[in-house]
Amino acid sequence: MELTTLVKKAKKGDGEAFVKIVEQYERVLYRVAKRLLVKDEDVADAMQEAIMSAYESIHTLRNDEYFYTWICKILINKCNIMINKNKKVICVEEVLQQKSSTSDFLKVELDDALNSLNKDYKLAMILYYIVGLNTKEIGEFTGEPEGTIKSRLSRAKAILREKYFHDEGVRECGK
Amino acid sequence: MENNFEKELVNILQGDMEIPDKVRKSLDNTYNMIKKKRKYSSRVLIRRGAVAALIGITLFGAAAPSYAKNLPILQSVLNHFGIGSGYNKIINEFGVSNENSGVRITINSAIYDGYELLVSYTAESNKPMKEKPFVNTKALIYEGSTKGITSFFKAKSNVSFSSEYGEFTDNNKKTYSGAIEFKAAENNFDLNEKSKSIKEKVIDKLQIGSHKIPDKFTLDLSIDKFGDAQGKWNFNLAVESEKAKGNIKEITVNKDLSKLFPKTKLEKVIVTPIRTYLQGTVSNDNTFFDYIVVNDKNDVLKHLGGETVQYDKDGRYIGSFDTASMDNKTITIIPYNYYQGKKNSGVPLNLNGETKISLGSNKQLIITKAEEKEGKTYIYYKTQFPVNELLPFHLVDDQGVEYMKHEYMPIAGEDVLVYDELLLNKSLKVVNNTTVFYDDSFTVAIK
Repeated sequence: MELTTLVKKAKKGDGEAFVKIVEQYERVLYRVAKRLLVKDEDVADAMQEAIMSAYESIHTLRNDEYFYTWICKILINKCNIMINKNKKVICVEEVLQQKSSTSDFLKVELDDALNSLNKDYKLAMILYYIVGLNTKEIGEFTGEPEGTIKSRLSRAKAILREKYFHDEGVRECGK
Repeated sequence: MENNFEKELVNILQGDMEIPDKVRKSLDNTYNMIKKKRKYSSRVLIRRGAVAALIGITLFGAAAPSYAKNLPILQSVLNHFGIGSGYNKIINEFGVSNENSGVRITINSAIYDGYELLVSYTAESNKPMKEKPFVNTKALIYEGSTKGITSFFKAKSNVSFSSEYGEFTDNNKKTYSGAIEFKAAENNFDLNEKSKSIKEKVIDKLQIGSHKIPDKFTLDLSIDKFGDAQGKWNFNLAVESEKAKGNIKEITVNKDLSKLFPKTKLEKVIVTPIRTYLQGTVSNDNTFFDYIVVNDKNDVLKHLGGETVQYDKDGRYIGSFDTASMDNKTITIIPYNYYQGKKNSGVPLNLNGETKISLGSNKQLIITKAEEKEGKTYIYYKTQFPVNELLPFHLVDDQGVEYMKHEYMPIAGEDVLVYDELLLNKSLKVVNNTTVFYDDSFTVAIK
């Protein structure tokens, strides 16, 4: 069934239709929340709150075609609220534990570098690479000029690139 | 090497990431909760839907429509959308038809009051319809031509669909008469300003403003699915909206409620022939902030709909209520908030006597009786004070399962919440997640 048909049904209170839509996007939503919150228990809470909020307020969705970006926005808001409320400091052990399955050293380093980006840079990277918006759409999403978004993406990649090649060099020296 | 970096970056950000059991379980619980809440939410949406008023519509062009006998809106449809007789001031009746896939759809009339837009139609099928049809509709409104409409609206839909309702008018289910409800505020008439951000387009301009409504505009209505029938029923309607403009009364209030919630202000009360609207700002932390409206005869105006749009930390609110009687000189407005997800411990439901529930501001609601009949549970309650009519309270069992009312009905002068299952063999608590700010109520002169 088409997305817009499902959204219309969901707007009429059809929970089954709403769940069908969210299931299509749950992996992306998980990746977004995971990147912002790290801990799975926080991710679970944020996703649950976002999905419930979306269901309760789906009548406010003005254009059915934009369901995907709309629910991403709700989720990111929930994640930001959790981050701000909890002032969560992720213990190093927790992060390492989360990454124990990642064997490649450079990948771990890059992953850490991504997590340590400032929130504006990180959000731009998430929206570009995970949600799949282009720079213009990210600008509309965040209310920032497109030029600012381009600049943030460029700067974020420069930081990550620097970290990546720096550690590559360290590894090479250590051999 | 640079290629490796890009590849690793994309792998990390886009690579397959299995959802772990902990999150999977939480998601499945959430999905089950939503499926269980179906009827409750449906009820809420229907009540939050409800419409209004008119726009004079004349037709031109479009997919060779034919003109048909115009039919009045069914009274049951008007009742469903909460439209009283005031709509006669702002309705334009007309008839234009389009036939596809054995279904002829005639647009009968439209009612527009500056915000709510109700388009009524009749569908005649050459074979019986299996069930009440689901209508897949898009609507685009604009002043002048479509030239210059930004890509933001390339989806050919800029009017918010709210709800639909209709009934078969014959026994063999070949003729169906209904209406589709949309909402069209100031921002719907402003499609060409490319420089504006989403916040400006969607948030700042979610306002009802008679001075912003053009004298006439075009409504492109396209239906591509009607029940089982697929096709293209397109209507290009020229709307004369002067009637709406001439019947809107705006009262500036600017009541600052930020002491209750950040950024919350009631800016205006807007009275039309079919609705009383409250309009203002909210923050993104209080999605379920709303108002109870009481007229000067102490009757609570029925809450008929609403729209809250949020972006970043800002939000705008429009609430639709019954139109206050023309005799009313004032309305009293009481803010409240429904704290979704709040883990209130609740009060045990007393099956042998009264159960008292706190409403806020030292006021109470009293559950007087609980009984089961014909597979349903009925919870009777009374209160001297206006309450959140959508959900004054809900029930929770000792396993933490929440039960939302399926419907509200007055029985012999008492207020009753009805649940579509037998619940009284469970250990139940009554939870009220709504706080009504009675002490912060205020009165607005509307005459």
